[in-house]
Amino acid sequence: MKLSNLIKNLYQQVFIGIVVQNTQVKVCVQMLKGKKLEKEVLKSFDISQAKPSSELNSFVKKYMDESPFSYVSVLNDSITQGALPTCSMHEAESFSDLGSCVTLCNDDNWMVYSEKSELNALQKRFSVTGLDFIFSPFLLLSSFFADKLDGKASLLVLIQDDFLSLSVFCEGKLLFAQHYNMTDAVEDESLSEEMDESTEESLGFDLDDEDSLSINLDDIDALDELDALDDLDNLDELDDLDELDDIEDFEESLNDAVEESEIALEEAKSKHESKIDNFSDEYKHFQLIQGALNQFYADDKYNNQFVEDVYIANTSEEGQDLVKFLEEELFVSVFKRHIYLEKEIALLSIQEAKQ
Amino acid sequence: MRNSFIKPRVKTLISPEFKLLFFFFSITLGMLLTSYTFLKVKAVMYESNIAELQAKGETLKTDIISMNGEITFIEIEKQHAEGIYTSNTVLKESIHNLFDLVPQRITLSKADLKEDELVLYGITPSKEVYEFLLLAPLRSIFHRSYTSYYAMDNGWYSFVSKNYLDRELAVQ
Repeated sequence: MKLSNLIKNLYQQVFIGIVVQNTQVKVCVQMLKGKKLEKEVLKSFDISQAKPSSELNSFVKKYMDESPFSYVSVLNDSITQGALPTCSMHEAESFSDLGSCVTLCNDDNWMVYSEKSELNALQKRFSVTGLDFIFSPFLLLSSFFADKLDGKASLLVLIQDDFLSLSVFCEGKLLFAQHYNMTDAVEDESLSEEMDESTEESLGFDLDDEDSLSINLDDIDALDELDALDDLDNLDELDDLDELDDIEDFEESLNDAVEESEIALEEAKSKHESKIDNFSDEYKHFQLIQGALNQFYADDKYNNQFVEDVYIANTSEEGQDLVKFLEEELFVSVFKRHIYLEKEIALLSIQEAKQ
Repeated sequence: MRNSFIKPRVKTLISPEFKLLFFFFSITLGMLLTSYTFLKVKAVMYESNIAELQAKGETLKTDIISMNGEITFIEIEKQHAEGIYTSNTVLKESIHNLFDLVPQRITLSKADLKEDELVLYGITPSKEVYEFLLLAPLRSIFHRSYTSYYAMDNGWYSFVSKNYLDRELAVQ
């Protein structure tokens, strides 16, 4: 054992895993003494424009000050990143232009890459606390599903709030990988149009079908009479009406009923919209996975093989619809596991710090 | 196998704040040590100087003692010289007085002057001349005077006059 490792084991080591998402940053702090985990802290911070807040910086600094051996690691959120089934830069040219990228070879048969400027920007964003490790989501995915890589061709999918990373492994070798930015995917008009049509059919409800709402507007007969009431001012017969007070009472009751119905309608709409949002996200994920598999099957350079199993690592608890879609549409076996990215990053940094 | 796109920062047990503190403490300690060394060297130098000065003092003391001895010797010599000078002066005056005593008619051929004794040799035309003109003053000076006459061919007398001063009588 090296002297430095011996000293490290005598001291407490702090590993801080950070995941930046669209609206929040998730942090996992693991404090180790030797190999024993002494303390683990998980915390989320709200952020804007993917910049760490002062609250986050002070939180990280507080734990960094606990030990001279503290490591801050972050998941690479660069848009231009990916993985290639070769470690040869010459062969990699047929897949992508890596001129301005940083590459890391893994197991001497596949590599991950990321745009250098985006890595620099990420380091600049965390300049207050500093960074020790930046991990690729593909390495994290292969580490998370390490026991699934050696078998037949399997598709590994990592679903984050803002990104979707997928890779195809066969007998421990990477065949194909893609990284998608979900915020870009949302802007895809054709995708959203298709989604709108199909979601409503699939879910089996219709916003226009007012029967499904909690209050049926047809049941309020007085609504039809409201327009008629507007015409009453022009009627000469109005003066002849002795029951004017009754009409005013009736108008008030009608207004109350309309207000109540509007509120109920808004509530029903918001409820269904959130359902649609979740569903649309999962459908977007399905479409991206389907598109990526089509690309994998269509392009000869990927040495394509039929994918039988799909392993999904999802940062949220949702995803049942995605599993259903994949199983029904692509005829594959789907296994879904929930992943705490910040915790996995902290674990990866522990392994990395040992080297 | 590296899994991270960047290398971790170098971890040291010493924090930058501690480094700064250590730096200032080192400077302070260095200054104290330098001052201590300087003072120590100076003290050693002073001690060495003191030893040299003490040795020099001892030498000077010895020199002073020897010089005092010399001074005493010189003083004694001086006193001695003064004594000689005084006695010489006295002698000179005595001789001068003696020659003043000798009259024109008596000629001295030799005079032996000792501390308590005067022996005169000369010639005189007659015994009377000698006795009246020279013996009388000699008798007034000396306690005892003995004169022997020898007749010469030309009628004159050569004489030997022995005159003595008695020390005991002189003290009285």
